[in-house]
Amino acid sequence: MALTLPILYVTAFHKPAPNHMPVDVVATSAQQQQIASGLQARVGNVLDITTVSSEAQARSDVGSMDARGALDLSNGHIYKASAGSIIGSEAVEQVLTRVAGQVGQQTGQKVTPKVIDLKPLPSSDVAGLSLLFLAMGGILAGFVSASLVNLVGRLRKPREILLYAGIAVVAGMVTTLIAYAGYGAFDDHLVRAGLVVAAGTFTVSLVQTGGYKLIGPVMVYAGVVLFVFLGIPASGAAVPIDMTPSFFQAISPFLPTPAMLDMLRRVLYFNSVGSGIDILTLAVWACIAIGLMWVGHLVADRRKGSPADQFIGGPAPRDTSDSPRHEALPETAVAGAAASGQAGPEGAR
Amino acid sequence: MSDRSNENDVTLELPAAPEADAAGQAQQTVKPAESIDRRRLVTGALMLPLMFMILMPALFIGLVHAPAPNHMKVAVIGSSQSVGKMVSQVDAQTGDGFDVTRVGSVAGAKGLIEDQKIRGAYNPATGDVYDSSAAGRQTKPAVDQFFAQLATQQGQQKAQQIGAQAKQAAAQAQKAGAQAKQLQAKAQAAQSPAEAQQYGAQAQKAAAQAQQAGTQAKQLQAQAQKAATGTRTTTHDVVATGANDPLGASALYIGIGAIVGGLLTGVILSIIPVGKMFKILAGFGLPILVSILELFFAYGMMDLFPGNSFVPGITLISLSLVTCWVTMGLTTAFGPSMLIVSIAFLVIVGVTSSGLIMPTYMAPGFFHGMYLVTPTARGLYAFKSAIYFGSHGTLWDWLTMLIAFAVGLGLTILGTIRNARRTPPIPPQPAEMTELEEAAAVAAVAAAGAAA
Repeated sequence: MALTLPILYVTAFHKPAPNHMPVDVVATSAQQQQIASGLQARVGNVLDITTVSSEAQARSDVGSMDARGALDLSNGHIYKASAGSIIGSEAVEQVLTRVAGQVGQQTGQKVTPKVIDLKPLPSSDVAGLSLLFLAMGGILAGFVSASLVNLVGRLRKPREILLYAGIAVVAGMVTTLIAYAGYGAFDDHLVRAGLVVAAGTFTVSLVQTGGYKLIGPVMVYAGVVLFVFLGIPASGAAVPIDMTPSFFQAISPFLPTPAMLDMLRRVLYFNSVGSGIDILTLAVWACIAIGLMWVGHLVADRRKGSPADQFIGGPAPRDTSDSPRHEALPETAVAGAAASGQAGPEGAR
Repeated sequence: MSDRSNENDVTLELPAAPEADAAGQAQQTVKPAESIDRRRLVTGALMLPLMFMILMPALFIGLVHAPAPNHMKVAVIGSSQSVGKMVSQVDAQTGDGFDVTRVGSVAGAKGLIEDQKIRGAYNPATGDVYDSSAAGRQTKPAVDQFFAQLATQQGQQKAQQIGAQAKQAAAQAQKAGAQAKQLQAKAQAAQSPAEAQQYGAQAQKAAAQAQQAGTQAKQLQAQAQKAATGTRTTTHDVVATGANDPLGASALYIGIGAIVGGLLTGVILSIIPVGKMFKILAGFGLPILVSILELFFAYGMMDLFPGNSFVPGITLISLSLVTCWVTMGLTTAFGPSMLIVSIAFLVIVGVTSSGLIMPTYMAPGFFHGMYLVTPTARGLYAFKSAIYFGSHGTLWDWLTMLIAFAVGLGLTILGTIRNARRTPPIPPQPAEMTELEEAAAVAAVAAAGAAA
């Protein structure tokens, strides 16, 4: 783990550069459309250019994070949205300013680019990073609580799920309380933000539990890899996804952490536009988690021994143990179950 | 009877167990106690997620949401009286934001930037701003913006002065013009040609003066307009980040790897039953190995940092060793519950107050305070200083790490001796619990690294 983290992060973040960054080019005349169609060949993989016929369309695309930026060829206006990502908006401004200059040279018309920030970040969150830690508080709480409950608890399924739901609600409330009331980092959409954090926390708890039921304590490491090591670089929260290597771009749509962070960003800064796909992603992961729990339950049942074993005097069936590693719990964790000195250090039977 | 002096023992004292043939009754008696203890255990264990739920947003959002200069040291270049006056004025105006001093020369300013004694400097005579991108992603724009505003302010003051002179000249022109008219009228009303000639000559002289004053007023007006737009500043990056690491964040990732390597080594060595020699060898060997592998990756494979890797390497190894032995000392001396303390203090507080995510002079004072006493914060800062600034100004960072290492080593020795004498020995916490805490620490620090 000590080496995996720096290797992954350096690979993802050391030299962010536009990589298939989606931008719009507004072309209203035939000449402009011709210029726009030639641009993609010139920029290669740096930008994914979409030609649109109106400024309104470009503004809408940028305002909903469908495009990182837009260039209007008729007046040199560059549209960006800093709330989508500070690093991304600076990069798109630089790239489109260069493109505008080249187009000006090509057409012989000098156009002075004017940059318009459609969604600036508030002064209370100038770096746009607060949402990352709002979410991470919940993700870590969900991950750790699910692992702990599976490690030391032996709760019935309904109680376990209720516990995770309770933790998720608490996580949503505590983290938003700190961010909103404590620091004033955000002003609006308090309830929605809290719900997103709670939903993400709950999903993480379920996935962690499902994995734990199936593969045991190894899920602790698998969870860190899934939710953090891969999840954070692929989320676009720190460095925008269209400035990271293609590997992270490929996995980003499928992971729960990017879904949660993207949904949180859209709720906080983009009026929840386009967050449906993120809700769907989290819902799919919740279903996967339930499936994993079910499979884990079947595997655990099989490990308890068949009826034939019991008939010939084999080991007595274990009493509703959900964890396949229950027998690994050391004595200190179950010393209280002795109830009296005579139970001895053997702990649970 | 249970031993209540053992901190890990959760046994309850209950009445004597029932007869063996009343197994059903025994189970009934055992179950509620077991259930109570397990609930207590779960409740206690859930303190860990609560800690993350509170610490992550509390510390990190506090650090990054509204960065602002906080006693950031900058300088104005020049030895004249006017520069001295400007420095006092600006220093008073900026309050706690910037600490503005005077430097005699450009070379002197550059030297101070390289020694990390100041973060930027401005030469009002030429409009040059000297800064450093290696000091932090937030530092350079803050310095550039501050001096650009200063240059604008200067320009506006100059424009005001010139504007006042222009007004004076215009007033003179008007006065001379009025006088010329009067004299012209007198010349026309003169009773003799000689008198008329005299007044006429005076009128011509006054008119010429009016024209001269008017021309001067126009020139001064133009100068005032030019000055009002301010001096255009030109920035010079005195200490730049490497071409393969333009954001300058890789030092944090590599440093975090060393901390995690040290933490995990310290935890594992404090819980597994091994001989003293193995503990010493592994306690030094593993952090060194992790650090060397990271250095190979950073310098050899990715070419992230400028210069050679020797001094940064020694710093990185020291950071990992300090983390290892402090963790080992705390858990050996005070028990496995100290792992949470290590995670909170060495990892979360250490990374946030190191200055590598957000410089401490752009963060609330709390983080600078924690930087002073946290060995991992000191170590991360020293590592970055070694890479870009030749380790200038890191004496106290090294002393803090040395003290922490000595304390960790001492606690390990004392704890080992005390534990060897204790009967029964303290049972270790579940290995899975330790693995979970380690994984949670890595996850927390990974989240922190993303903010860089």
